[in-house]
Amino acid sequence: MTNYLLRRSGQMVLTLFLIVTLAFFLVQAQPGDYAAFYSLNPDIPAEAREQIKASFGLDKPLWQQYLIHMKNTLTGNFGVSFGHYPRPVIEVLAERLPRTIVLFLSATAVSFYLGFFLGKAIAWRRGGVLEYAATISGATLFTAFTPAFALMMIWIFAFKLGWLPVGKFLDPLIWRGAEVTANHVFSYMLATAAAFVVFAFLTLLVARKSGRFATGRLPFLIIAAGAVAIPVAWAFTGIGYLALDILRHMILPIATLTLISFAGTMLLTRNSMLETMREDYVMAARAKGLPEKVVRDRHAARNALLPVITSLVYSLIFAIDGSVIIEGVFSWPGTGMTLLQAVRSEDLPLVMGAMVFIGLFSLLAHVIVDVLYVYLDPRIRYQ
Amino acid sequence: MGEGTSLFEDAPEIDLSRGRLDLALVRLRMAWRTLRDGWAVFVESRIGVLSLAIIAIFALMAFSHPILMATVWTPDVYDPVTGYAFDRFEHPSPPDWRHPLGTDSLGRDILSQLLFSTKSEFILGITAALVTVGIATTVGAVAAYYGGLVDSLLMRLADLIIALPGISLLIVLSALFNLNLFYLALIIGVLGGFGGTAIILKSQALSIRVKPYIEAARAAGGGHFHVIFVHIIPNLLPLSLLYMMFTVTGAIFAEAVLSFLGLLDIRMSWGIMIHTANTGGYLLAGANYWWLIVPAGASITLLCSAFYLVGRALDEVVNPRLRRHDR
Amino acid sequence: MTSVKLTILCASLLSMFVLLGCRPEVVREEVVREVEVVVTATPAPGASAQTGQPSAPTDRAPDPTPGQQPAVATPETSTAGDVTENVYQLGISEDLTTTNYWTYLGPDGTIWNSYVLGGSKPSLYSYSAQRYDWVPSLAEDFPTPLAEETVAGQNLWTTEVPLKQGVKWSDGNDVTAEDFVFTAHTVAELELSGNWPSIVDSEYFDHAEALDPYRLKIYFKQKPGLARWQFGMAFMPILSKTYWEPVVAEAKQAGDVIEQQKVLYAHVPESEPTAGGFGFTRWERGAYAEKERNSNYYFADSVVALYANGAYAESKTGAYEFTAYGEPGGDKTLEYTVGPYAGSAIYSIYSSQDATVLALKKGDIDFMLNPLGLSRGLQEQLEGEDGLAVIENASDGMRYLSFNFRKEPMGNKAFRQAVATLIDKEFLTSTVLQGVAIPMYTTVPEGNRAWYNPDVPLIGKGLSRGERISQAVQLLKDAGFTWETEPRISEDGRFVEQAGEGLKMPNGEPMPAMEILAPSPGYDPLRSTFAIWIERWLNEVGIPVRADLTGFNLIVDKVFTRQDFDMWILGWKLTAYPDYLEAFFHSRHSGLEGHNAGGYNNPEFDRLADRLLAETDLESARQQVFEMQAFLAEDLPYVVLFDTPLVEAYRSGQVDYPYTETWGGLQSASGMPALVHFK
Repeated sequence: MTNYLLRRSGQMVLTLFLIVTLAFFLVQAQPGDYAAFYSLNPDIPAEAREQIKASFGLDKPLWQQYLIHMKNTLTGNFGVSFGHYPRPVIEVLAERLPRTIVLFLSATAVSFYLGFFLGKAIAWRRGGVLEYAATISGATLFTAFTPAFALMMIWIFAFKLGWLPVGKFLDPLIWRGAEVTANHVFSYMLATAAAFVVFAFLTLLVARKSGRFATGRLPFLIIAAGAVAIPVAWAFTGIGYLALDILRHMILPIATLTLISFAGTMLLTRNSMLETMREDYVMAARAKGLPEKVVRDRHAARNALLPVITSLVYSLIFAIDGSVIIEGVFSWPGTGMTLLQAVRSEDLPLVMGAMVFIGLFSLLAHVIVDVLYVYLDPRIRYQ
Repeated sequence: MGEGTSLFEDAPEIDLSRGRLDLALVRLRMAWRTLRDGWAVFVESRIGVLSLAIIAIFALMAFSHPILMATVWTPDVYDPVTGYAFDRFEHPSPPDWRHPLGTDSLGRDILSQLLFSTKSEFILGITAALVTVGIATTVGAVAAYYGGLVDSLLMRLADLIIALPGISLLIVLSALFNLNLFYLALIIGVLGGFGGTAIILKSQALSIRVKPYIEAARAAGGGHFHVIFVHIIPNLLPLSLLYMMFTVTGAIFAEAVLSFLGLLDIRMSWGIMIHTANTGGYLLAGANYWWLIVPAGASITLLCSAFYLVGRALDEVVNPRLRRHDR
Repeated sequence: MTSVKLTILCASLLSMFVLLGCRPEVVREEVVREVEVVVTATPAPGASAQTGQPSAPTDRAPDPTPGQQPAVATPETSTAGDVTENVYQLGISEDLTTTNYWTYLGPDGTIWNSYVLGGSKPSLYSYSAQRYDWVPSLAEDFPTPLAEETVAGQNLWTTEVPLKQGVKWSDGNDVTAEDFVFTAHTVAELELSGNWPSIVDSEYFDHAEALDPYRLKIYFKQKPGLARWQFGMAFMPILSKTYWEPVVAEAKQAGDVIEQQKVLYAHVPESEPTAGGFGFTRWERGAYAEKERNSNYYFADSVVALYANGAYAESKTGAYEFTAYGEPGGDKTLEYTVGPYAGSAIYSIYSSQDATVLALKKGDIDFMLNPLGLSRGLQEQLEGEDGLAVIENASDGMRYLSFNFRKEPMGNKAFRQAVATLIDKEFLTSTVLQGVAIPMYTTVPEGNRAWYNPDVPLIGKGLSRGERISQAVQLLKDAGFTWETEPRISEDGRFVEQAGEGLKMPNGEPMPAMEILAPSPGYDPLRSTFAIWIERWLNEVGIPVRADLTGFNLIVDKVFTRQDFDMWILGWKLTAYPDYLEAFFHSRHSGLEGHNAGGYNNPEFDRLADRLLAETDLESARQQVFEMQAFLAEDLPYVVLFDTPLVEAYRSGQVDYPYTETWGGLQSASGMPALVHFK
């Protein structure tokens, strides 16, 4: 396992290096340069323009710029943003990353769960109305034109019905007097989620190891107790209402993302289930006369989950990647929106930084899924 | 057969070519049978057949545009880009018999734009799919056949490409460079071809590589090239076809999104139609100006999901374990 | 099991909402209490930075007049408590990139920064509301005329400016001549970039001196024209010396000038004093920015009046009284009292126009700031809405077609005139573009009353299709162009039956195939529509051009950076004082990366342009600008195409403005936070 992880990390570093290089040369190969933007203002004298070029390192030869870029990337500061001059790129990205992560991890989790749940159901009742309805609506939503669909969701739920806010991630009137920044709250939310996942994981682990109460409801009750403890704890921090405000703003984007992306997981689960259902042990379980539900959930679905987990990587990457579109519509200032604005304003260092960040994120997703896979499938041992 | 001839040095040329012909016939017959069986499985999926019908309708639409332009539509009025409906005073104008889907905010006929764009979408989707599958099949077959270093290099490359955030990359590319439909198709094709599709096709190729007939072809003196292109790749084609469908969906969708964001250098497409409606401020107008958004939006969804669902149905053909009955 | 899990999930979610839900009320009360503290106001218009958004169809603007609007104000008897409850909510589409004023006018000059940050600093002079008169702001009166003086063996030009007394920063300190001297010297010493060099031009500015706290003397190296002094330094935003001196001192410790600038630009101000109606209080990155009322705002309660006879009057009871441009008398065209009437102004970020409009309709915001205004579809939608008002103003932009004079036939005047004749702007704007655009003919917009020459010929205005073609053909023939087949027009004059073929230039060579670079429909559908139609019209008479619809950056690269092109279509955002004519058309700017990328070269025009730069008198500057326009109208280095009206909407059920008719719309006045009233 250690060997495997080492090798995997080596690959990651190499891949990352390639992504960084690719990002640099893509950006360099584009026609036009940033200083041209300044040169378009007739009131700025030529010396000032030269000076701007110099301060951005644009006057140096290409290979020097590349070395500067590499050095910056390795030391983690990604250079200085043009558009936010003189803020370092890393600062701009670090400020937006938690927002993207909170939103898209939650959305991926919800859509994954929904997809898995539906996939299981339609595989079990093959050819039923549910299968047709779920497949067609899933595929339609999956291919629906995202920006228009998201806007429609806002129109219905935020405007017509007035249930939810129109985009953004907070309500200024609620936050005006707040003493903390939104990122502060976001990071606490992330920490809470991580803590909860670890807690739930450990509970299940202990339950499985001890074996005695593994089949009972106790583990779930413990986890539920943990879940209830979270809001209680938050209520005492004094910033609970801020977190709640953020959560309220997350509902609509999460719902939209879920509707768009559950179909992939659903159809994959269905296929995986159909394959597992032909396995002997499922036949055997049925032959024993076990209840359908038990066979489905305990025997078939658990094993069908394995290949589906692999697709979790793709769902994650898809979600982070799709953030470019979704964030714009929901005025959610995360990495995707940053990338889009950066390419539009030719903020080249920020473009490169955002690309590397998004690339890094998808690499991490790969590794996490690899590890998860080992845990879930005892047959696999990485050498 | 290629280099195999050296084993039968004294065999007359004519026999050889007849043998080749026979072989080709046998192959053709087998292919036909596979196709027929596959079709039988395919038609079992009602969704698949429906989707195929939808694709056929769109194909007809694509062909109808040049015909209509040559016969009943005058370019002055009906050109999808420069046309102008002189018979109306206000634009966007609602549908009537002359403009069955109305006109856009610049006075252009929506139906003409829709039909014209259908052709571009097909060209885009199919080019991207062919490029993807062409590359992926070759890469998959070569990697599986040679193994070792070649395999490692190609698969690491695939890993790298999978890790690339596709939409973001396309956005960066189309914003910084001046992409038209052809380059877009090429890029999508290359990314897909060297990326995920290659990995899937490679694992399929691996299972083919260990089949006895490959062994036999090698023993009969078949060269690497011969074995790869005559024995492995044809057996990969059904699976390739499946991934072609998914690529088409992806390509059309990517075009629509990029056009919507105003990043592509093209004059007309479904995405541009929605973009025009959006910049004119009609995206929120709902039912009042439905003809600006619904035709293009529905076309994107219909054609994309049709290709996607055909792909899913093909999956059942290619992967026997998903079938309802054994055959 | 699933149902159990779901129940547990629902229960815990529910309990979470219940537990958290009881909290907010308590805290909200606290918020209200905190807000009461400050009382503020902002002078509004004028502070226009360059539009940093390449997404804005008007590409970069040649204008940063950082002057502020007349800091105007009026009596306001209502209790502070009432006013502070008002929150003026505005929508913006992009986040700020800085809160540092040096940075905002330096490398981060985005329009969004200017909306939020503009107006918080005093300036000596500014434009008046609506009319764009040149009026004192921090200055008490007009400056003394420029005089020549020898200082330490150097021949310098000087002027003296009296300042108002009693103007205070929000921290209680007085705004004095020292603040001006500090700001100008900082810009000069650190060689600040961006918009600063155009405000404090080191070729002109030598130094400034505070004769006493309320009398300022400025020394120029050479005689400054209107653009350098009256419309330049006089509009310079003045920053607080008390607050910034330590920061600047620290910056000067850094290495070279660029490092020094970086230190200054990187400083994040905290409770920086303001002299405007509002002070910056909170920036939640990516979500919103908030400004609170400045209780020390000097111009609060002052009354401004514009008279039909041209006179301008401004007064504050017990403080000052000022009149200019004639004796006030007769009808007043505008009168208002300066606020602010809001306790704070909140700028929320909605990243798509559609979302902003929904927020406006829903009542989440009172006004949306957008340099491009509303598109027609949205305008139509909002027009009938209850509690919303839609207003339309002329904008300060211009889209044009220009030529590469270095190549034939573009260098031929008759060719350019023929092209201008063939372009039917009225047809395009009224028929194809449905009034989304307004046809434009001159390099100084008609809306800029003071500087527009009404007597220049408008080539091609009001002609029919047939007339256009025959006139263009005649123009070309007279100049020696020939056809193998001349274009033939149908009887009713609406269509060309036979397109021209085999067009030859006067030198006998066939006309080369040419390209018009224009923005793609994705970037700007209006300009690309124009390009496509121009292509069609020129092809009809046999001129072989093709519209190349491409990315903005690519056009800039080809046209300005490499000068490798035939014709191009782009746009500018224009300033009220039209010294941009010099920048666009003087032959000395025709080198690589110059603004005269087309290479227009007319020595007579150059002479006028040079004189304009040195001109110090408003009236004779006007005469020169008129003559320059006459040259441009005939030589046609630019065929000016169109401009777009600026459409805006506000919640009329909630807020009201003293006036809504203004060049560039309410957004050019940053939404008038210091003037807006609440109902």
